[in-house]
Amino acid sequence: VSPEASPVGGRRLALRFGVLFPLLAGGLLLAATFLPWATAARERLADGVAATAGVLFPLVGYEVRREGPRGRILRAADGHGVKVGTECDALAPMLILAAAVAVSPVAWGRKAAFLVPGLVLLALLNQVRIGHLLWLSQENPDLFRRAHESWWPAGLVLAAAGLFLVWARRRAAPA
Amino acid sequence: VRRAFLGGAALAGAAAVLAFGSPLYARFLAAAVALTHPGVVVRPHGSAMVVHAEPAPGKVSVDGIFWNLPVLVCLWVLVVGGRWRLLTVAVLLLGALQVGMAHLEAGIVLGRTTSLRYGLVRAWHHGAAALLPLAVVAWGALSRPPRHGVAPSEAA
Repeated sequence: VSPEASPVGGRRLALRFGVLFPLLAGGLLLAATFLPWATAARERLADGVAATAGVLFPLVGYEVRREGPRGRILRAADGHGVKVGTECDALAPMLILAAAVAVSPVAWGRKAAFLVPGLVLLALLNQVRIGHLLWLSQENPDLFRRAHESWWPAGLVLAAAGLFLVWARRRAAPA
Repeated sequence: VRRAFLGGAALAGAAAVLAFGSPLYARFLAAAVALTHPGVVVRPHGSAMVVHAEPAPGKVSVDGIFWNLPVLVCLWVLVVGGRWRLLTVAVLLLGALQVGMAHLEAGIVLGRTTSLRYGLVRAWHHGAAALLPLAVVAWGALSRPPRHGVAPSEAA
């Protein structure tokens, strides 16, 4: 997607990306935030995130149990816990990555071959985020809010951007 | 080597601003919001703003508002690596948007909630804050004018 790859066609494709990417990503994010069926789906997604954490954390030696009506409260062995809300699903960086890949001038097979593992990687990074926040809520509650509201959102967005840039620069070739 | 150095420096700078910058930024936002809410006392408190409302003061977290500014600068250095005047304009515009968001959140603390105000705050926290720096960086990189001149290989 470099405008310098080809003086005319490359620049046109790059400008097309520059227009379509924010439009598609913005549309997807608005839909995921405000459409009733999407918010209902996000509730189930958050259930899945909490369930996955309940399976993955013991595998790395961090024993947690799930509590609450939907099993969304993750509680460590010593009693402290965090609640997995709908905004904890890392959907924003995932949709942004999906939109950037979708509007890239690359064959659909290549897009899918990158997007599936890319989204899985972001979902796993989100599990690391939840584990870190659970740990931080006990070890350093003062830092919890800053890590929750600022460090991890920035980290996930930078991770999505980094994944896309690495793919776009090293793997992608025009269709 | 220069690009790797710039990238490392940008990431370190963004991490430092994220780690230590929000209490300082809370002072700026509190001063800006106090101007837009005349008669209401808004004070910085760590990385939050305290809005002195009745019956009890409420807090607005600055961390959730300001984090995309260091992301914008970091990605710009990594991806665009130039066009600094355009970056300055983008930073000022994003800063203005953040002041607007802090103003809206302070209004919600004060009980002046409307569906539009709530919807804008929700849209910001559920994706707009993440998308804005990426869209700006994409535009900064992709709207670069093509390089002029003749390459040495072409001149031969």
